[in-house]
Amino acid sequence: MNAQQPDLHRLVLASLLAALIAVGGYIAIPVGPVPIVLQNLFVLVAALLLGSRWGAAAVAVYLLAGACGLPVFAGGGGGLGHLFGPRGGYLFGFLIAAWVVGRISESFRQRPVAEIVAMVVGSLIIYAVGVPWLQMLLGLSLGKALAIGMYPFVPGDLIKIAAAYAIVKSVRPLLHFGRRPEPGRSPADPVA
Amino acid sequence: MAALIFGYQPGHTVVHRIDARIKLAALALFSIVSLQAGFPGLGLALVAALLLLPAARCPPLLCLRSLRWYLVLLLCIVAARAATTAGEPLLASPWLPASRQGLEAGLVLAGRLLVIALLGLLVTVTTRPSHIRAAVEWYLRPLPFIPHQQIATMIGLLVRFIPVILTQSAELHDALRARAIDQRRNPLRRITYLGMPLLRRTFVTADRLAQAMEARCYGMERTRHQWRTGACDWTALGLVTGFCALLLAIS
Repeated sequence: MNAQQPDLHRLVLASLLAALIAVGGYIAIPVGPVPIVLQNLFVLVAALLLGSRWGAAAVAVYLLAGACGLPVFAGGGGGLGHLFGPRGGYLFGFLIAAWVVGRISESFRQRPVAEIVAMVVGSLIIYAVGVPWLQMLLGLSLGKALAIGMYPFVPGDLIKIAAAYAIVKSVRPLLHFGRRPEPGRSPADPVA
Repeated sequence: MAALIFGYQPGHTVVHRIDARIKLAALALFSIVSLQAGFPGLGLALVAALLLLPAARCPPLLCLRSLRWYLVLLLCIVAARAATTAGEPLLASPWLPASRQGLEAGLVLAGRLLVIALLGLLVTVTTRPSHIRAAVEWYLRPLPFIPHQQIATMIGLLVRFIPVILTQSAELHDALRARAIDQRRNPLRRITYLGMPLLRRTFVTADRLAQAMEARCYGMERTRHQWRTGACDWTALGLVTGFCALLLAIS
């Protein structure tokens, strides 16, 4: 990949995953101030499918679109107020988690056990950023913040990790970017 | 699902015609100003948003329905704030720990988020994704070390993909209903039958799109969008700035 011709497949897929992260937030089931959403599922899928760099890029573009005010956050919200609101920590957590999950999955060459461990680590990172943030902004005790910001979601997260794994296994063979660079088309070659 | 609007709806209203750069700037400006606004300012802004929606041929009730989960979420935020903030109690009953200060703080927070969500929806509904892309690119261009073309393309695609996913999901939902799969007892089955084909389909769509873009030599050196800024756009910018100043003044 060079500056003139970026990897279009990854670029389009990263945009699709950013859109899926947004759609995953539209069906937000409220259980207190933090809703159950499918967003973190797609964050994990993005990281596994695209790797650390483009996975984090997908989340970053999603955050940027939300910061501009486009309705992409949970339930159709948007704006800086949401990004720095009580649930903003989870959103920044997504960014770090996407990078770390992608990184682990890459360094172990997409071995199944490594991917699952990576997703568990990623989910923990999301809470590690999100819960203290929630605690700070809503002025709760740590125990209470964990009770509304983490414990209700743990069973769901286990299901999401299983689902993310199934999705990645099912979708990976459909995609073409594994075939690049093709002979004679590698970015290093100067194309006439 | 089909009743949700999160995508561009063609139209010829004034709001549709305003320069996309101004719409984005207004949205960002407003989301910053609203952080300072109190009750009177937010009420005014909410009224303005609800008046702008019909002006753009975008029924306010449908918008509120699209945001219904968000509304429930906002109620939860109000409840959490009311319950956790210390202050004079609202109700005598010890079972409902709600303070007046907490309720007010929660309402202000929720009002802020609701107004931004409505205006964000307004911008997405009235602006072509290609114009949003061009506007983002225009704003990012002066910044160094940022692949502004790529980011702009990705945001444009993101805005375009959301309605695509929602439409495909509605289509699949109908297909499942026609085969009586929504009658299945096992919710896991229902979700798998909807989710897996939906994801596979959207990923294949995206993959084909990438191939098509590649086949057409989509590069990052694009012809720049020709902006036509008229009196209407400057008036809109003036109005928005004035409105934000008014909000700051009364709060």
